[in-house]
Amino acid sequence: MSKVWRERILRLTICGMEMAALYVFLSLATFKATDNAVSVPALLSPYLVSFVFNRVFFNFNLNRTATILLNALVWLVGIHIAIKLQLFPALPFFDADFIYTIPRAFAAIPSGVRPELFMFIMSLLIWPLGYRLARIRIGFVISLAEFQCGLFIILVTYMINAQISASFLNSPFIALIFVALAIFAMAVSHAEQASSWLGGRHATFWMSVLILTIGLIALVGVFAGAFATHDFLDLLLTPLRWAWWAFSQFMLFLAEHTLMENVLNPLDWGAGNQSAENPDVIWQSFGYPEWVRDTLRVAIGIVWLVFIVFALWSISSLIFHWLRSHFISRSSAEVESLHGAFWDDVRALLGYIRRWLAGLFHPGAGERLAPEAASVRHIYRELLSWGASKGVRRYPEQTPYEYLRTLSEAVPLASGDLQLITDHYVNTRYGLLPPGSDDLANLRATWQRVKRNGYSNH
Amino acid sequence: MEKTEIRPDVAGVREIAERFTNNVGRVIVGKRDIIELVLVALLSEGHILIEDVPGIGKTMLARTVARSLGLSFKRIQFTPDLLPSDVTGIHFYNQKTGEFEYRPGPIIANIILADEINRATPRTQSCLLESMQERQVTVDLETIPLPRPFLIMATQNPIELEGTFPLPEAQLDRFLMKLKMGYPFEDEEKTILSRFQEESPLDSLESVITGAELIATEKLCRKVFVDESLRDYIVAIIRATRQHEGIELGASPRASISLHQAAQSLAAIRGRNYVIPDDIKYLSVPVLAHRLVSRTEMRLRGRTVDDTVREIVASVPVPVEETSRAKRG
Repeated sequence: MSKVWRERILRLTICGMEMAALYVFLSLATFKATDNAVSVPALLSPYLVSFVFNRVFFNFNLNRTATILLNALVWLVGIHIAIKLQLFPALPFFDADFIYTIPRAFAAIPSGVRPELFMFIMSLLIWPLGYRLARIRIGFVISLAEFQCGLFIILVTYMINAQISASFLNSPFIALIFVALAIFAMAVSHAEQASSWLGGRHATFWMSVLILTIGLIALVGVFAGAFATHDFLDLLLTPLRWAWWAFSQFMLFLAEHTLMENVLNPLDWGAGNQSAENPDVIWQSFGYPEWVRDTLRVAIGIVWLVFIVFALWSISSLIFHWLRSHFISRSSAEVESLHGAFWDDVRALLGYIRRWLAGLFHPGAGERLAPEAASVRHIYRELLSWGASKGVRRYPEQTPYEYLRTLSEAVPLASGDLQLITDHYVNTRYGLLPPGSDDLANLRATWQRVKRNGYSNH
Repeated sequence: MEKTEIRPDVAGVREIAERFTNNVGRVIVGKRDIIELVLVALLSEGHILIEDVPGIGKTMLARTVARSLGLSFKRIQFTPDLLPSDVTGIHFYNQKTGEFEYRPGPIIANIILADEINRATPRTQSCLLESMQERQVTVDLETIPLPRPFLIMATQNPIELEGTFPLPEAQLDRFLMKLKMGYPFEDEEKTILSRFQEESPLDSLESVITGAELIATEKLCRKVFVDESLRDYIVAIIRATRQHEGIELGASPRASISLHQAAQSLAAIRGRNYVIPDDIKYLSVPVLAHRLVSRTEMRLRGRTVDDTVREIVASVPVPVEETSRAKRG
């Protein structure tokens, strides 16, 4: 079997492990929060969608901003679809009752957690797990770490289940599936890599240490479950209720003084205050003219509009650029970057205006870096952080090339890419010679490749 | 913001360096790093002090350098009875013309080999001060400019110090760098034997760089870009030498200039029109070590000045990006 297929199977196996552990946890969570009004598969669907989506877009080499925006967009659309299918199947998609359902659920938190809010929050926590699994480099260490985390989650959940006598988990079937998948993943990845989970002189004792950690996890799980009483959980939730009360007061203030009034008014933010122990809203004691309120309305509206336009423009131009570069028929034609051409012009203009204003108020104020130079230096800063996370910190007296030698010894597989990044940084930092657009794109792609591949220490 | 100054095209400098190194390498086996440093000194208009045991090839190196450049070469053997006038020249009365005429001394040449400079008296040693710094000599109130390019390669023996006169600090500070050639490796020594078996390769050595070419290259090297942060780095290193507990006398501002110019020359030789921190670190020991005076207790502990300079350089942070995670480690 080829290495690519082995990696895919391992990734799917770990996906199965995570889903099993999440299934157990979500079973308890939905029982406690919604009295099983939301099914566990509905809660798990964002994880699967995130994993598949990010796996598909993994090869597009999108930059970090575009990746985050795309994920946020797909998550937002996806969770609304999931909520509608699960809880409001009869309502049309663009019905006002359905559109406001999430904000209303937030507003009603003091009186309880609604099923749609529960789905929303759970998806927010679960979506990044799918994103992570789609991008990490699968290996023995990951398999082991997933096994330990999943085991902890399952054990604690079962302990809590026993503590509160929920009886929602009738059989350990899911847990057995988890263990079986974990053993498969660990065995295959260990055989493939012939590596150890541990380093140094403990490397050969990894199985013994693993059994020891399983025992410790079981012990911790027992203690955690012992503390999970009703009163303890209530004690944990009280500060959250107080924090929500403060937030809802702020939202009331916004609703009264901004464009969002028509949006937020139906949410009935004040309904949750009946049980609050604190006095009424203090914001209403501020009185200021009508024109301030109108100005705030317009300003916030402009901010939202700019944000939405920027997001749409950035994503669509990246997609257009990718389409053009992949489907263009004439090999001699150059593909112009719509994103770069327009956006660079806008940024150059804004930068010119900013420098001109800075020159008016602060003559001789510090010169700013060109965007390309700023990008290169930003990438190098990220490289330093990445190296530090690998245990290879740059010492203050090390030059970039000295650090490159040290880092390459620790991560030899990445040495070529690291050399390229360091060369560009040195040219930019000390020679003030930032790369051209093509070289910069290549540099960004190289850095994305380094981050994607992970590279374990040598 | 990008600088708008015009950067020099140093491709020619690299090519010249290759030619020079290969040509000198036909006589001097190995030691490419030393040859590179000699070229750095040449391009920085600096002087070199070579301290090493006899028979290493110090004189051979100086002669090979002179031959490679097609420049005039004079050797001065410094002895205790050498007088300043033996170096700078004298005015003598010409009975035929009835006038005083100047007879130039061996200092009037492009490349001077001052052999065993520490054997001459301080009075004779000091006659080189003006020539090294001002590129001129004054004889009987007459100032005579020295030819360009002008390079003094002085040698001294680190052993057999009896009867010698250590160079004063003022003179040591005028040498751009101090080099140690070191013994050749085994294979290099075998190559030396075969190379010098029949005749000296120096006899058939041709010049590969003219004096005019060298001067033009020197000017080009002065235009190599040095970022503001690296200038700060150089100054920080120099100032750190004055504050180190083991150093009694630190480096002078002349040392800053020397290090700055040497870094520019080294960057150009390596094909860059800008200096990087590695250039400065590489040159720190040869450029700074001989200018520092260490305290007695450091010498008694067996710590050399070279080690101290390395320690000082390691204590000065290099101007590079910082991140909070990288700081935390």
